Amino acid sequence: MQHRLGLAAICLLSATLVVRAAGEIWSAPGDSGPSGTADGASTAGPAPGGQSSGTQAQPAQPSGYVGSDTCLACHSDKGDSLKGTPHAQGKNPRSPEAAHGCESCHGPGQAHVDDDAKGHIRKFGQIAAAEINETCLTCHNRGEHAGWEGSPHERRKLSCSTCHSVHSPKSPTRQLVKAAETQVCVTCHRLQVAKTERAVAHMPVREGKLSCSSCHNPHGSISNVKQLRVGSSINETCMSCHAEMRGPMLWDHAPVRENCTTCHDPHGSSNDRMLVVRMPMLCQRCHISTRHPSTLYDNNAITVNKSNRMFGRSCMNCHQNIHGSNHPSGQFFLR
Amino acid sequence: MRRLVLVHVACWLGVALPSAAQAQIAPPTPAVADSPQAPTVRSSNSPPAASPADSPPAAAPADSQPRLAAASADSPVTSDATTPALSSATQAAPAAAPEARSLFEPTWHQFQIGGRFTNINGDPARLQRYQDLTNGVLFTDARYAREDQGGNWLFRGTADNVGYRDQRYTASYERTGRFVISGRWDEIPQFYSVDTMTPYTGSGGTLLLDNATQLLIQQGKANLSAWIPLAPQFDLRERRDIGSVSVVATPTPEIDVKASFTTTKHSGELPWGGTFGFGNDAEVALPYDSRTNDLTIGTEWMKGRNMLRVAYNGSWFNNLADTLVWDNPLRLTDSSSSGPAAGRMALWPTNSAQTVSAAGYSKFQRHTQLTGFISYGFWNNDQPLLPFTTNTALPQIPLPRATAQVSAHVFSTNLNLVTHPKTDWQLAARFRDYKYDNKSPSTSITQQVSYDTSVSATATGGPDLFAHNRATFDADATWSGFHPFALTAGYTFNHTDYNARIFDTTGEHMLRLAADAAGTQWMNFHAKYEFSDRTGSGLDTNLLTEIGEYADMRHYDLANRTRNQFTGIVDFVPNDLWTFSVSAGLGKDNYPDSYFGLQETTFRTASFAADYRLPSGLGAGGNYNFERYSGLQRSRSASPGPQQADPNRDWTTDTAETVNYFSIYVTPPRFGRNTEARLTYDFSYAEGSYLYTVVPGGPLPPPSQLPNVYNKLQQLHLDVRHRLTPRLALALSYLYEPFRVYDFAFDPTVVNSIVQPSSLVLGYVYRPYTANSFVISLRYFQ
Repeated sequence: MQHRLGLAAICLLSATLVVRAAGEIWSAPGDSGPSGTADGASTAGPAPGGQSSGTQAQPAQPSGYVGSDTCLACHSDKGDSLKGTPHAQGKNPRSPEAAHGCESCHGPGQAHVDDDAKGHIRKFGQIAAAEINETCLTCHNRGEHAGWEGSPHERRKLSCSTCHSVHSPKSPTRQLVKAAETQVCVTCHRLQVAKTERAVAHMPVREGKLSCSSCHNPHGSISNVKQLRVGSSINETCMSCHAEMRGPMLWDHAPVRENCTTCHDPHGSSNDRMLVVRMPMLCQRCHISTRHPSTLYDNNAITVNKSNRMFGRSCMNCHQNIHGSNHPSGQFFLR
Repeated sequence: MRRLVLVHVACWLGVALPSAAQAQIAPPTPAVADSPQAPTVRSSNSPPAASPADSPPAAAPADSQPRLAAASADSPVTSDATTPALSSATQAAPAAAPEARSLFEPTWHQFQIGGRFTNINGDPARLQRYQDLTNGVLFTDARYAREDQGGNWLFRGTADNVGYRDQRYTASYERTGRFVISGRWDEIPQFYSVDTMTPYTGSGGTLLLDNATQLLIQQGKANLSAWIPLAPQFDLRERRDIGSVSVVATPTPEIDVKASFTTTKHSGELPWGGTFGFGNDAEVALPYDSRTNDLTIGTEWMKGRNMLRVAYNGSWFNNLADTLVWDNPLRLTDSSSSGPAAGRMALWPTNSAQTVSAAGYSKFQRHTQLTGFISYGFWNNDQPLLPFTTNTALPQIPLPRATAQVSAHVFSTNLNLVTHPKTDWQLAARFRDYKYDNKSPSTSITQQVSYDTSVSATATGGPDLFAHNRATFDADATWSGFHPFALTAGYTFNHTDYNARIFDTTGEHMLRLAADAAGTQWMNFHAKYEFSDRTGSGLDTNLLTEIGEYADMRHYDLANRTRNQFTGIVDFVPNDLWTFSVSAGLGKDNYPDSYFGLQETTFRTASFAADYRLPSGLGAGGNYNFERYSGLQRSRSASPGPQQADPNRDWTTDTAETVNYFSIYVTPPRFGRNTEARLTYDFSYAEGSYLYTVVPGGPLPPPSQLPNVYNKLQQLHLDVRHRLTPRLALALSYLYEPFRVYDFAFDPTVVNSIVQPSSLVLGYVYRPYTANSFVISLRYFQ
């Protein structure tokens, strides 16, 4: 039943896209829907190239636009701050510089110039999150950002400028408001970032080998849950690096097949191997057959009668192939 | 040593900070001012003061919206964008020459070369679990960018930790508006232990012991201790080497064509258990050698209100050492009653996954967007099956087939609709379906060889073909008419079908309420409450009893469960100097129908943070996190027979973990014009406890409670940089890192030898360390 519903939904979406795409492809130039600035003014095509880095000759401006040179007469620092950033790539037809420059994002500037109070311009420090997002999404509407609408961050009313700064970024890449990515994420996700600092078992985040965005797409994920970047499930994300666990195996272990986070905390843990709780307690949450799985292993098992169920890697001293076995004798993951 | 260091740092700060603050408020030198935006005195970390017409005096900076909460102490942050309130107060001062950029501000023309000196007292492996801090010449933090004058192309390259085990290189070349080619080489070490010893020798997947010693032990003339003098120390390490290249081409502004290839070589050794029975297990250093290749090809078309994307992903995992053979420490020859001469284990099988996918969205009126995704994947493992046993003294059971022939089809669809029917309303609905369809043939395996020692019947007659199909429907409504708050009510229904699990299906209803306030210049607020109720149906207790489990056991990943949890965070920005943040979370999962297994779990978290920043560049902040997790589970200790039905043999475990984390950072203003410093300190203390409880008066003896386990990590980072010339700086970095740990399972007093009762182990233990690491270098920048 779920399959049919899903297929029907996809057919509906596909039909919608095909119809609209047909309309887009076969429409006359300029007939496409409104885009560009939120005031509805269409974004002109890129100006001719051949200009110096980050700038281009000012074509005749549409009504209400004054051109970047006028803006920079008062806001030269803002122009300087864009140098070397993608927003200033005049040769890139997708960049604001190739369209209306400053006014691509801040809106037409004529009214602002004429206004003694210097209003009538889009000031990103003073407008609602939705308007900020709509402006940025005019261009950032594909690839990494295609899943923004309806994403968890969008639903929680975050704006693009919550994490990014166009004119005064602190990070060397991605124009973040903080010097490092984890510093941005930790402002809301303290628990998860704190777990990456766990001393015993952690992802190599603090060593600089991984970051939050190695696994998550903060702009939303079209394909996965938890804003995970890769695959269609939590397991597929984990297995994008830990492909050895993917299998399938001849003898599968059910929780492994369905959800890695049943046993592991992906952000970090005080237990070996990032387990949610140490062994043997973890295994004893599901295995209570007679004899050794359900034996109470107390302090005597590490002092008086030292037991290999308690010291070292505990259950995995024997059940090593716990993620599944490809051995004919591997039912209990001993081989 | 620790006290000496802290005293020196405190004295240094006590003298240096006031001096620096005094230097910052000294009258600036006048400068020519010929524009309305002539800069006044400012530190290099904040842009020029805004003119009064550009932003109201008390407003937040024009392009930071809204101000974030206190940063973590991972590394010190540079100043926020602007502090217009104070900037306007200083506007009356005459314009001064602009200060040079901060020495901590990265540039695209820089590198650092010098020497690193690290002293480690204790376990060097724990300190360097994922990094290489060995002594030597250090060339790192190299950044290079070059672009042509016309903005037609841009090249960037980076290099870090050159020549060390954790070295990394990246490069990218961009033809503006046409294509981007980028590459990366990254090495991630994993250093397990220097305490490991093993008598095993060999290479590839075959680990051998000394035959003479094996024979002596087999004949009863020696015991496991005979292996001790034959076990030299070695470092237990593994490593991932990751190389990737990607291309994004833009033939037209509407189309992106993407291709990427990543190859990962995973090699080294890791601790691995090889057992020959309850009284004989051997931990070995498993040789590991695999390569994973991933290829992605896709194209995306985007125009106007529509986007369409198609992609292919291929992934091939190739295990070059997929079989482990290891000698039996107690025997040299095969026996039908006493075990084999060697064991043989199947390691991770070579496998592949191929996935095709399509995604797209279409925008409509009233800010409505419909987004969809569909993918189909084929997972496959057809590795040759090993024989049932390597023990030649046992009957050889015929294989069901020559190769594994296990495969799965994975089908996923997502559909997401968001609309704004009115200005203050947002409605969203999502449907997601994920199906893992096990296509493996049914396999009859009625007998197996346990531990290569004895033939026994399998519990299930063959492998269970686990499969699942998960469908999720989610909808929520958000009203933002009460500015700045947005109130959300949402509902989610999860339905999952299982194959070969104790429940046929589970259904989970979830209700959530959320309140968010964003877009103000003085406060951010996010809070969410979730309630969910999961119920399983189609319970088949035979799946439990056939493998010897109790019929009252419930597996917590699909058992009936009720969940309540609340999380919230509030950031206050009362002015341009201070930022405060408070967060809290608590939750509880109950498993009301699980007599055995997990009964409940809880969590409680709280955090407090504060940031202080002056326009002079002085900044400081602190953050405290508290976390507590607990879990209660029940079991029954019994032998087969009448004991199984005796509830007086029940016992419970109450596990709890408490974590306290504290961090501070100080970003002092410049000392003079040319010297800058950063200081961070992190402290983390985690403690775990395990409380056993038995039935009073029952047949089980009162348990001897386990000792608490703990780990404590401190990190003090001090970085000082002094400008020697406009392009050269002297950089001094110091890391002080003491780590203390106790875990009874890995304590050296417990794992006090490679020979343990019934076990030959590697000797891998948890040990403390204290590290002092200095880096003295020259930093070139431009």
